[in-house]
Amino acid sequence: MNPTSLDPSPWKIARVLLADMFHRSWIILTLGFVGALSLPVLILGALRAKGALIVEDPAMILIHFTFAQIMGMGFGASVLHGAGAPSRLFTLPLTNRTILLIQMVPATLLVIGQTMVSIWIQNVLFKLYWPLLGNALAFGMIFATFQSFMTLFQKSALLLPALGGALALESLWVKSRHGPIFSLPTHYWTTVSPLDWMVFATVLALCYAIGMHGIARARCGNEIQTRLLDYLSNAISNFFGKKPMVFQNAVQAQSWYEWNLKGLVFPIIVLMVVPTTAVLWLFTDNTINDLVEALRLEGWMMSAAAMIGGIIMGNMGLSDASMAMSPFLGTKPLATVPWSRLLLATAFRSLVWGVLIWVAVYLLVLAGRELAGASHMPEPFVWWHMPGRILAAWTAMTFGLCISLTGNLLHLKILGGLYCGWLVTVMLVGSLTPAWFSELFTISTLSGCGMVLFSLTLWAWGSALRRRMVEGRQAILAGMVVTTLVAMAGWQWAQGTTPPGATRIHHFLLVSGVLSLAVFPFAAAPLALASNRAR
Amino acid sequence: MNQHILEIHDLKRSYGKKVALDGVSLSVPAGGVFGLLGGNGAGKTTVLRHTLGLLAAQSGSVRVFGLDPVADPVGTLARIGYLSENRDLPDWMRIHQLISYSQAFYPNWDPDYAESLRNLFELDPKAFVRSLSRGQRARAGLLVALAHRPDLLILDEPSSGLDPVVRRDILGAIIRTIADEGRTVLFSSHLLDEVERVADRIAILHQGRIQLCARMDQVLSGHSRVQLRFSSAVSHFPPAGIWIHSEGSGHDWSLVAEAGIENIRAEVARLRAEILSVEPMNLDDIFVARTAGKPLAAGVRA
Repeated sequence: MNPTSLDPSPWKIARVLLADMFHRSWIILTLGFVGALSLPVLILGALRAKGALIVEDPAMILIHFTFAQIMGMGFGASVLHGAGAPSRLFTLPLTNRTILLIQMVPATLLVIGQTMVSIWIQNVLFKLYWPLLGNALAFGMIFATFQSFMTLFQKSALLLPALGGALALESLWVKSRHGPIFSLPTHYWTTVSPLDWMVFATVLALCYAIGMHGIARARCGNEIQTRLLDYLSNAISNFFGKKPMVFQNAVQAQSWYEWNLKGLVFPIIVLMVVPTTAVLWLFTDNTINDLVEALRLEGWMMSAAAMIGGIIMGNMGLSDASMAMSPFLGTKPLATVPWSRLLLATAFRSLVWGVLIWVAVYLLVLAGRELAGASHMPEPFVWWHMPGRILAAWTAMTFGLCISLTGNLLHLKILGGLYCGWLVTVMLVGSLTPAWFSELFTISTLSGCGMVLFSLTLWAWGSALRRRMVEGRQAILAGMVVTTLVAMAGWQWAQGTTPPGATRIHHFLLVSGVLSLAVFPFAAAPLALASNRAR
Repeated sequence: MNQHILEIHDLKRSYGKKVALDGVSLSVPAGGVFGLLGGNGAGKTTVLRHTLGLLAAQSGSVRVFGLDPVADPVGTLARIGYLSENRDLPDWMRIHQLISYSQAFYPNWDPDYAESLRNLFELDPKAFVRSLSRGQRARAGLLVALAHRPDLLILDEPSSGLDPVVRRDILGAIIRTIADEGRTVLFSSHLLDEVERVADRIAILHQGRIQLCARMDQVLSGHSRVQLRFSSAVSHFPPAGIWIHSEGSGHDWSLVAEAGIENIRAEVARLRAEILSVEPMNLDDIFVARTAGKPLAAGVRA
């Protein structure tokens, strides 16, 4: 026997690892691809349905620029997840260079390919002429920067400032390809010039050098030291951590646990999104009314952040990959119903903090607007928008919480799969059938979704009642709340804000289903927790 | 009054196509130390998880203190101390926070005992759990499991990560103390010398089935290694009857018997063989004989 056949070459190992990565992560990659594409397609679809999709409109340049970022970030996150940490390769007989190339090259190529394919799909579906190459290469570059900095700084406190600085520089450069930096983009990046190629090549070479240095350090446990930051962090932690704690009962102790571990996630997301909005506004159109408008829109978009916060809050497992309740928590003598209620209370507290942050910033900007003497509000004040935003964020957060509280990752995958499947179907129907049918299909499926949500709420309350997790008077109260909310929505409809005819009932069904989710968690959370606790 | 603190009846559990527990029945009497033995994947942790109510019985029943741990987690868990195999403590807590947090769940928590255990285990109250070594994590987990003086202490592979001194002197002493106070310890392990040293009763779990469940002294006295010589060569000697394990070829065979000396002599006479020696066995040998044996069959083929 040839002895060398027993010693696989590094490249053979690399091939096996790559195949394994795709085998393990194909679901996440697929979901990431479709998910990242979904928002642009939905918005473009809505614009087309309203006849507002005008290819020559200069606003389409900004839309293209923004969509490219959304898709790059959305898919990039799933690629990072699939690639995994390089440390898993450190004990294999591979050189540092091979490890770095395994980590970076396929992932970067995937991001470039995905951006090109996604833009191409939008071009085909909506008859656009958006350029494929420039933004795709730029996102490959940004992704490689992200990976190399993660490799070098790992969990160091320097990661955020260093990565933030590098990404800001790259983003400014990408913005400059679409026109002046501090104003709206003026043109598409149609031609990738030799200078652009040189920039890409230089940045990628720098990423390679940074990544090599990072792996060389990490492989021998010589991580980046941040003594001053560590000292400060420990000092702060000691200041707060030294406080003696006395809990009156188990519920109080568990509330402290939940809040300390997960309660701050949503407020932190809001805290991160607000300055990001301000920066984006700075680099696009710096009129105060547009900032007011952006923050107003962000108020609605809080629901997406709230759902992420809820999914994190409902995770009772040891990691993101293992959401089943850990034995440490599972063996705590705390009844399921009070436990689920304290989880919902934590979610509410988290939501209040997030909303307060957003409201404070919004009021600050409104005050600034008054001082600047802006002439008119971009959109008139509507009384139900604020409670509507809070309610939407509550339903999204607690729905995510309940799904994740079951401890079964499959539920999240099914939900993501259904969403992606629906989206792909809508895209196909949109491109293959007349506009009226496409619109009817979309609104019919959405109203069907509303009915499913309504049925789900009824089922949850029925099951919880049967298992004595809720009381009859609580069910009556929940019914009254839903009836009131639906009546209010109906009254709003009666004011004539929705189109007449067949679509009105579809909209009503969808909104009723979503509104029923306001009371869904009070029955679903104990059910989910019970099923997670004793599997 | 129910004398059994834990009663498992015909418990079955499958993960997909893999059968983890196949009709396990087990009774653990109140007081004393009960050792659950088994190789990797034998089903020990699955039995313990059912006992804690972390898994619902797919078939069969589990009663702890006469209660269903899934239906009444508070009633059972408040009287149980548990150290998990993976020592899954929250990394972000400090030791003093872990103690304060855990104290809130148990009305019988003894702060003085917790403090004495913390000193015994040399745990810095300001230290973060994430900064602890594996052995220190095990000690922190043990502290939390012990400080409320549980009626039933469940330890899943308690020795894992502990150095020999802590394992022998501290863990052994704690287990014996609890047993001497009339409380019950149920622990799983594959370190058989340790089990032999501290357990009063044992159960051997193999491939999801209970192979043996008895008092330790009965287990040790009830098994013997018998060296036999047959008058004519024997090619195959499958374990059957009193013989639970066989090794050898031709005339000379080494057998493991689960019987008293009189029964062994009678059986050997029936086989028309000669006894060369009969030796007592330690738990290690008994475990190997019980779990590494071939499927039971009858008859001796010459």
